[in-house]
This record gives sequence, C-alpha cells and structure tokens, in this order.
Amino acid sequence: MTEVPDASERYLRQLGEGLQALGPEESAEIVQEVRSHLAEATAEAGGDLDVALARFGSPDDLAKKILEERGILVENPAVPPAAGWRRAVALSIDVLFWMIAVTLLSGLGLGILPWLMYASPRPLRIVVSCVYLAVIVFLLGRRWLRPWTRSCYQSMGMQVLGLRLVRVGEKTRLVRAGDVAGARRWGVGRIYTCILTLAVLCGVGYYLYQVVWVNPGRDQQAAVQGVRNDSSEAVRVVSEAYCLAIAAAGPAEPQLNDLYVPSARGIAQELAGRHTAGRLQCYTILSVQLPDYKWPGPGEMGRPSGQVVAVIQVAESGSDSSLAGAYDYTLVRNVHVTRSGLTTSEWFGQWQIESVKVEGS
Amino acid sequence: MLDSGDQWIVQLRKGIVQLLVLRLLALRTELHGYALVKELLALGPLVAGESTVYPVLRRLEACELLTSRWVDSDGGPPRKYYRLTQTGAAFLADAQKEWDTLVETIDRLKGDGHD
Repeated sequence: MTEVPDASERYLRQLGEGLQALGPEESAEIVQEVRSHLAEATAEAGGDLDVALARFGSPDDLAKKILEERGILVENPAVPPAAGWRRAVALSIDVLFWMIAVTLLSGLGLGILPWLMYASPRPLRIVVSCVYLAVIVFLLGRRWLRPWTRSCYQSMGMQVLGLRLVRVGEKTRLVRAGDVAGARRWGVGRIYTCILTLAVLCGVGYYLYQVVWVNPGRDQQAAVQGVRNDSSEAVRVVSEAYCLAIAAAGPAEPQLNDLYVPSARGIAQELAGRHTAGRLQCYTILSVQLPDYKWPGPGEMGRPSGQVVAVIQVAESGSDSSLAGAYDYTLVRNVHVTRSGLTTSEWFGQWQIESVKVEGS
Repeated sequence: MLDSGDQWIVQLRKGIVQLLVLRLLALRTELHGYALVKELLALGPLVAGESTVYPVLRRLEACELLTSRWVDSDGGPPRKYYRLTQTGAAFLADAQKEWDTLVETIDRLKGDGHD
C-alpha cells in the first residue's frame, strides 16, 4: 500500500469544498474515506493515480452525487425557501451566541492582559488589547456567522430551527429540512444543540430578570429599610431644626437659609421654645416616597440617583400653646446608589428638611 | 416523476445498487469501501464504479441502515468498515420480498408469451 500523492490531495480538497453543505465533520469523514480508497486503488494500479481518479469521476460530480443521495441537493427549484421568521430567529440565535462568546472571551482576555503586561508601556498594552479584541471578534464571527455570509455549512441557529442549506443548481438555498425528501428533521446533533441553546437562553433570561426586575425591587426595599433605619437620624435632623430655630431667632444665618425653605423657617423659630422645654415626645414615619427607578444610562452603570422624600410626624407634649401637638416635617434626602454585583446596593446622602407643616393648618 | 427512459433506468439502477450493497454486507458481515466496490464491480457492468457506490453508502448510513467504524490499516490511511444494522437487515428482507415478487411477475408475463 502506498501513500496518496499530492495530486490526489488537490482532488480531495475540491471534493471537500463541494461537500461543504454537509458540515465540516461529515465532509471531512467522506474525504478521509476517499483518501483511503485512492491509496489502495493507486497501489493496486501500480502507482497510477490517474486510473484510480478516473473511476471516481470529477470531484464536483462526486460531491453532487453524494449531496443528492443525502437529500440536500435539490434540483427542483420548487423547494421553497424557509420562512422569514425562521431565518430571523436562526440568525438571532447565532448572533446571540456570538455576542456572548465575544463578551466572555473579551472580558477574560482584557482581565488577564494588563496583568501579564504590567511592565509594558501603555500604548503597547492598548495595541495588544485592540488586536486581541479584533482576533476574538473575527474568529468567533467566523465560527457563528460565516454560514450566513458564505452559504456554507449549517450554523447552530439553522440547526435549532431545523433549517438546512441545499444546492439548487449552482446556488444554495436555506430551506426547512422537512421540505427536503429523505432528510431527517431530528437527530442527536439537533437535540443537543437545542438543549444547549435552551440552557443559554434560560441563563440570559435569568440574568435580565435579575437586572431589570428583581434588582430594582431590591433597591426599593433597601431604600425603604434605609429610611426606617435612618429615622433616628431624621429625628435628629428635626431636633436640630429646633436648635437652629433658636439661633434663627437672632439675625438670619446663611446656614439656616440654605438648610430650610422659607416656609419652614417661621415655624421652626416658633418650635424653638417647645424644644427647649423638652416637649419633643415621639415621631411617626407617615410616608416614604422613593425616586422613580432610573436605569443607568451609558457611563452611569450602577449609579442611579434621585431623591427620597419622607414625611415624619413629630409630637409635642403640652397644650398651653396653639402650636402644641403634631407637626409634619417633610424631609428630603438626595441619594446616590453604589451597586456591588447584582444583589447589594448602598444608599447614601444627606437628609434636609424641606418643609414643616402644623397639624390642621 | 420520470423525465425520460434514461432517468428511469438511472433510478432503477440506483435502487438495485442499494439492494446489492445491503445484500453483500449481509453475506460478508463487514466490509470497507474499497473491498465493497471491488466485489460489486466483479458482479458485472450494473455498478458503474466508485462514483455510484460511495454516494449510496452515505445515503444508507444516514438512513441508519448501515453502521460504520474506522480501523487503522498497516502502512496506509485508516479504513472505514461498514456493517448492516438491524434496521438494515429488516429493510433488506422487505426489499428482497419486493424484488422476488417483481421478478416472479415479469417471469410470468414472459411465460404467457407477452415478451
């Protein structure tokens, strides 16, 4: 038995190109089988490769016959193209997988590269990172999107949707496998791909559910809890208002003007006497108004902000004054949120009194 | 649909080659592609050659009538050996009955002087 010479490799390469519609694995297997056959036939023909090749015919004809027997060479142009929605969904699946793969590998590489190149000049690190990204995008695009641009083997999305490329004359057409006589709709490969796709879609769905739905809900709950935890601080602010009101009884102080709105100032001054008399008794949180959740825009990832408005009622003891009783303080806190991961958020800011309302006024 | 007499003969021969491949594998248990082609060619001019047999082998394997395995060979590329599956054996039995019925019918017509 002899080794197959290079002339037959050209034949086999052409055959492989003609069999692209079968996918890389099956076409490679056929090429390998023909290679084995040619080696034996050449040896038997005393090394005459031409005799062996002549019995196979031209590589294009052989590929055409194999595709025909496998049910994916359609001479009848009446086989309809696959529906638009099937093509769109299949393409979406391929694009989704491409994007996920690019994101994961880019993140991995861009995390490792700076560490590996910490001693290199910054421009070199930037260039290497850009080259790395370009290579990742290209290679993964070749893996997932090439079948759409080159009309070659079946892509992952096509497999999930039960689509396959068939040759119609010299061109290829994307059709439903069920429309091709003799073609199988379901095989192990398709089942495996469907399970994998379903798992990935569930993962992406869960992530989006966490980010878009659950996480804002947690932020709201955390904000409410934060306000309740900070209620003692709110009372401190109210108490401080009494103290400042005392100071405000003298010449107006800039700090007071900054801190309180004008309508609150007069009331605060009146409260000074009650505070000094120790009449401040207790407080009740009447309401907490949270800011509308604003999904962070570009450059604001993880840093939404807004205002929390809390109305707190403070009770005084004594009944010798028209002002004795309950007072509602509207407190405003300008908040900023720092998020760590998907689950924890930290709200911080500064409470300020916005207005004071006397009961019944 | 048949386009012409030539097309009909092509389809008929293709069906017969399938039957021959299955029958040969039923007799020999296991054969690689080259040996299978040689035995088929030895049967006469019905089988044109490699370009007829390999496409048929792909079809039969895709339909799970055949199974295959790769075996290393001394001094050359590995060989792919084919074997009949249970489904293939059942298919062959049915096809053989159909063939016998067909031949018997045609022979009867000949006996009646219709030939």
